[in-house]
Amino acid sequence: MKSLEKFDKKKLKKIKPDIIFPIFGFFALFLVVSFMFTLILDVFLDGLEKLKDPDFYTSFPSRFPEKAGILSGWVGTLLVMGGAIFWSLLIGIPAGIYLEEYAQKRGLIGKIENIIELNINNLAAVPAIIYGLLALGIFVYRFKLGESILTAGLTLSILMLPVIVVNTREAIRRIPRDIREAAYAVGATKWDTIRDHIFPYSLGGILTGLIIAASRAIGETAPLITIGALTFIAFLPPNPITPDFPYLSLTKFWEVLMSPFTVLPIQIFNWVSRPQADFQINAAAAGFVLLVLTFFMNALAYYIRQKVRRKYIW
Amino acid sequence: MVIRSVVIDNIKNLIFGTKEKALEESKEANLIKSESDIKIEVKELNFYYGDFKALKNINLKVLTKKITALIGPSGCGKTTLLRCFNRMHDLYPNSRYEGAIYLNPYGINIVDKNIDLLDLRRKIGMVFQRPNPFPKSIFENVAYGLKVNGIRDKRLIQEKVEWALRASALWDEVKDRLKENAYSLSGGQQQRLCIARAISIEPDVVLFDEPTSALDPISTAKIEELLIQLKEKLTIIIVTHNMQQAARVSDFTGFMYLGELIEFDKTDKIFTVPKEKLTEEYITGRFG
Repeated sequence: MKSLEKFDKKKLKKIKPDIIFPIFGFFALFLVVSFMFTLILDVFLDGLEKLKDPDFYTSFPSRFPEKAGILSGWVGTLLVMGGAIFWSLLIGIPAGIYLEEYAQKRGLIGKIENIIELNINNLAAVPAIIYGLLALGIFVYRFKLGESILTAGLTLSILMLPVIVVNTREAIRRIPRDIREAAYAVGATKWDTIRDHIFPYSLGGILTGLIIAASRAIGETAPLITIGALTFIAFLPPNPITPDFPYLSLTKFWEVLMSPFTVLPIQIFNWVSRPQADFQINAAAAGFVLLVLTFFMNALAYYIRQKVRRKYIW
Repeated sequence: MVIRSVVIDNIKNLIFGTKEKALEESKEANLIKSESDIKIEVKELNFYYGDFKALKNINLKVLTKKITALIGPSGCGKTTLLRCFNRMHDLYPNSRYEGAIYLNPYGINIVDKNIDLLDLRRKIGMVFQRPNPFPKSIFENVAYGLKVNGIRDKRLIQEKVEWALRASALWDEVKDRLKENAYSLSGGQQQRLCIARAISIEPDVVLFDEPTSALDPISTAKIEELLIQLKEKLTIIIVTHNMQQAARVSDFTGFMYLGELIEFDKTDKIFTVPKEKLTEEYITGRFG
């Protein structure tokens, strides 16, 4: 009977962490969530006055806070992100497919590929401003692309690339071996298999990665300031779409790519640094718009992931 | 009268049994050799995963339009041997073949380095252990092999798909839902769809790698029935864990153990009068 008492005591001791940890964990979680909600609510309430004003979305920046709007900011953000998404997909997907499907772990090339593979994750951790300096050196000074939308898109795409490569590889790795073998077994070539199976089945994962990378890049300020984004723009790039065939003027399109730009985070940064209190309202409103854009993108990523999961149950 | 003759036969067997058996054996051996339609001939085949020798000196003859079963305990190399026939090992690094596998009537050596693998895989199809349809429509699953082999004529593709689905006893179940995703089918139906996919390009040989191990008994029975029907058109090699299955469907059986082909003979002989002690022990369930 004595030994049994001892046993009970030990058990009682063990129960304590079982009570303490969940309580601590709950508060930790509560802290995280309350930070987020406070932030959103604060920004929303501060900017409410401007958010309700339709002119805010269709006006250029101005010296007068009540007239100032985010038109050039959100147009710039959309154009720059469009470019960044285009370039990062164009380079990131083939790079990921190559590493997963073609890279051989042997010989000199294999060694180089191994080093690249190991460093892709490191690339994702490089501070954004370093990428800005790199882009300033390469795109602005070397290739003379100017302080343009094209440069900005390329800069952000470098930032997004590592995430896209890693996600592409993970998505490809999730495809079961059987499926590839089934394709090869009916006489498909490697390219057939990649085009008809590997790529389509991994697209969901790739897009999820893209959106995660893009929602990070959309808020970046530092690299874009480095390459010379303006803070005050009172005009829009020309409209490249024409009413007649071929519906797109290439010269105008090039003008769009080469035009100076601003983006929402830079607009916010500019307003926050103004002394007038009314500009703070503008900053909060623009901040809320940026948050909504980011949430929307994350929701899209979630939706795609769920949809693809339901379609490809291995 | 009948009873008497049986009794006499039994007595004869008791006295002359061994002698008669030997005579029968040589007859059988002659039968195999004299058959001009040997589809695949494996000669002194060794196979390596890196440094590990997975197949040791395999010699084997697979006859046209017969079902050849490979049995043996887990890890004995039967799946490895099967995957040599369509060079599936080549998808992964560090595999190496020695020896030869001749495919008739083309006279090509399957394990030759310079062989056209796409052409080989068109001649030798495969059905896998787990049903593995593509996550595409039922129609596209069967049409895929035709498409990658350069058939563009839509009507021809439709005809071939229907033919393949009929030949795999699936047509009546799916003819109204060809556009549906293949994953909406049951496991057994999926496996028959995979068979349809394999036979759609009219291969000479189809390899089956434990095709029923993931299926329920009713689906298994259907697949076995199908195998016997397919034998009229194709040469079949099947790897199976299930000895009853080998006994039910196959004409020839090879027993493998630790990378070696211990015994190869007509199925009824392997299961009634095996020559090797190991074979007998495996078949009677003493190991494995």
